[in-house]
Amino acid sequence: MEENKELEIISEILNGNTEKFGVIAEKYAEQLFRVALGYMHSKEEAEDIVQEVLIKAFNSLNTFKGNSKLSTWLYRITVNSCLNQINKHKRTSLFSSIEEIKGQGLDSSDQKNPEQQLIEEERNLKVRKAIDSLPTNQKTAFILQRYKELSQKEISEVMGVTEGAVEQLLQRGKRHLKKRLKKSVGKTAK
Amino acid sequence: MTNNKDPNKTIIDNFIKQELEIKPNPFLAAKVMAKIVAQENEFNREPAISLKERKTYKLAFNLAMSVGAAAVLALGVFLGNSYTSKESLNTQTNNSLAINDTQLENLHLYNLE
Repeated sequence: MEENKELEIISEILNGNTEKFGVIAEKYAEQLFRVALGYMHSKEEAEDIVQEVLIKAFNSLNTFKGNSKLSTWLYRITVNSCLNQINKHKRTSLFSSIEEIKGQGLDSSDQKNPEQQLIEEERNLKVRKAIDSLPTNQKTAFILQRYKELSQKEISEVMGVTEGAVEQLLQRGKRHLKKRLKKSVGKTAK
Repeated sequence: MTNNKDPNKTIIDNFIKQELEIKPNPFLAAKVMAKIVAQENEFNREPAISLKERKTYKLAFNLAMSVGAAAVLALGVFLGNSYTSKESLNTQTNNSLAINDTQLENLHLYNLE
């Protein structure tokens, strides 16, 4: 959808045609879901976040000035909502995170035996913990690049930083993950 | 040329690939719209009683409460006054006799041997 068309739809919504927001919701729901999944690693929580974000976006549509793309604005709201939700969940224990991993079908148990499945689940948990351990900005840059495949320019617009800063964040994020995984996955391999 | 593929990168790639295979509920957008429409209906709903009527009812209620409280007070004062006026000086003597402490408790009965 072109930007101009999006702006037209937005002005129709602001003039009272609420149903037009459905077009925006249909277009962006899955995209926002991917970003939320990168943070929450849970289908249900990611869906809740997407609902919250779209409703928030609808309620504050009059504040969208059109200086950035609608997608950039929505990603920004999504990132903030995810970070707020993570802060709320900071007391969530390791036990519940294991339940989430088992529950979300990451085992892809098509043809693997139970032992292989268990090893893969443990490995996935370690990767997830490594991603969750990233500092906030590095995590945001990482998720937007890997889960949403945004360019560095787009990431810089969402995060409100320069492209150079985004590149640095991505590099540091990679190093952090490598270091973290070397410790934990390396132990499993032994 | 050696293959310098980082095993950690492969692990991360596989993890992300698996997560991205998870699809959201196909009715997610519809659920959002339903909530938005419900929200709009709630906002636009007209109140059952208008503001003017609500104010009138409130005033009438306060007035009724005040009148009721005044009536209870007046009744109490009236009853108290009517009781006092009926009683004569005769009863004062009876009252004084009645409050003879020595008649109340016959302590000597307990001390009898």
